[in-house]
Amino acid sequence: MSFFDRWFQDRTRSLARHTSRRSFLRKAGVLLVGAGAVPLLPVAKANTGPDDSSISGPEGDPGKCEYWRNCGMDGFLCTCCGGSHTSCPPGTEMAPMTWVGTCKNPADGRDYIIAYNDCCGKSTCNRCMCNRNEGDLPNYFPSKSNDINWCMGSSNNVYHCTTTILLGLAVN
Amino acid sequence: MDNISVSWSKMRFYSLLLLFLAGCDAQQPADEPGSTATSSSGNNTYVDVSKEPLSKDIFGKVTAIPETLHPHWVWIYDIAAASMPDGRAYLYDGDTARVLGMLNTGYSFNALNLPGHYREVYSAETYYARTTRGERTDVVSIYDPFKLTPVAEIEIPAKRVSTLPRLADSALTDDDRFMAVFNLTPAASLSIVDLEQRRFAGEVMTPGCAMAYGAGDRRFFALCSDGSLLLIDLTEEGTQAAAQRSEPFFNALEDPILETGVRSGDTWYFMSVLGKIHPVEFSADGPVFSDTWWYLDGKDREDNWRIGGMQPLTLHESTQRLYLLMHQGDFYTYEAPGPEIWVYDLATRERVDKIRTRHSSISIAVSQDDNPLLYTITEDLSTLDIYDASSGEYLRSAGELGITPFLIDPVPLP
Repeated sequence: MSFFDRWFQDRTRSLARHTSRRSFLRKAGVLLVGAGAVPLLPVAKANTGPDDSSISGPEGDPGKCEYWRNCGMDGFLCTCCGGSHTSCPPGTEMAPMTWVGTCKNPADGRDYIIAYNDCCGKSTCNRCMCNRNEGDLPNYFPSKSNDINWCMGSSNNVYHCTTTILLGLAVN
Repeated sequence: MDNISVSWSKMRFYSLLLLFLAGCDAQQPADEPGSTATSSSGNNTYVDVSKEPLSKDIFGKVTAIPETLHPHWVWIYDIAAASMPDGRAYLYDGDTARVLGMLNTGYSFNALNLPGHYREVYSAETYYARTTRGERTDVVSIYDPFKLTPVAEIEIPAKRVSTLPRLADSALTDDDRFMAVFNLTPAASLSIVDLEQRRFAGEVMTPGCAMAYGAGDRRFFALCSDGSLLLIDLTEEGTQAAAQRSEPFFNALEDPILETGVRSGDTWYFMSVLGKIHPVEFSADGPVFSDTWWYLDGKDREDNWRIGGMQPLTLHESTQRLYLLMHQGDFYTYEAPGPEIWVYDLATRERVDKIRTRHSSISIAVSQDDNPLLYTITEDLSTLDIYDASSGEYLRSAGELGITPFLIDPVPLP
């Protein structure tokens, strides 16, 4: 979900200028319909992960945009909205469809598949906006477009925030 | 309970009495002619008796917009991302940089559709019965563009797409009879609305393709993820008559085209991220893909100049001047704002000017009259800057533009 990324152009440009085009081709952004579809996902490996040098602890802080799972994030971090990086805030609903990315965990050096499931049913959280635009394609490529509100798949299309659900190890 | 009722009655009585007395006082001349007045505090105050006292204002007036369409009026579309159920469209006068009025346009608003006749304007909208919950209703609202009031609405399937705003999320046929609204559930389709008969005409499936572009009186097309386009021909009833998938004409992974296109006659022009122009002419038989040409030369590409923004191109049709919003950045910065606007002559394919704008901009548009204005929305979304489109000279600005206004839409020529 990335309705809001234009507010944060400096961040966008900063990130994008450090993103090579080839790196996108190693990233997968695919339509995910339920966790059962995971084994069928084309998985690519991202070797240009986020800059983890500033994060603390073995895996870092999920409330920071630099957190490793946020490598494909484009929305408000649910951690800052009453939920966590893996759960929606109270009273919202997790959208079953989203696009996924592959992020490298700096704690073990492995690549993992991360689904950016939106939480829906309340208006925008407006806290901890995080936009990392790598791999975004125009809207005629919905499965690779982060300008689309993925709450479309839930019972209520009102976007609130975004989680980072770890689906499993990325396989070469 | 009785005491409370009595108290309220007394309060209302004294309130009305005070208003009455104040009104009587206002009707009294300040003093006899030729004298000075003495205020209640005892200070002497000079009264200019040579002038008549001001007359009372009339209560309840509402400003009317003159029903003479001016080519420098321009709509600004605001998704109001901080509170998305509250989308709005502002109408500005580009000659004065003043707001003429606004419309409320519901949740996840994209853009109005402005017909050439401009007797009314159309808006695909989404509403929830309790603002963010309850039953969802999607409609095409029809507004009087001068009174800025709703005059009708047509219910459509509740699956209109919700995206960062794009002008191409809905479109009109060339005769303004039908409107197409892009749906994504994630199954892709178009809701077709008969604007003349005020009815939902039906749904056209567009598998693998998205958005809607007008290309004739009974024709829309959508862009597809494999680099092709899907041409939809309609019957007179607005149902699907034919669907034709073209050959791929761009590579969506290697060099995607931007969603924003410009149109001159029967030809649409799309800009690729790496710097090519893709002309697509729509003949009676279908699309004809002319040769592409580079709008960036080798040096430009070497220096990483790139088109970018939310609405990064606009065409002044009568002069064939094409305006591109440019910045320096890598491949995935094609939605980033830019500090320069490069002007091309579509006929000669030459770049004829570079305009260095006052602020980096996220969207641009040009009016279509003979003294065209060039509008830009600044990258912080706060300001509409207005330039002379012919000379590039800065003219004026409108601040406090909206909440998160992304799109610019000049009204059609009268």
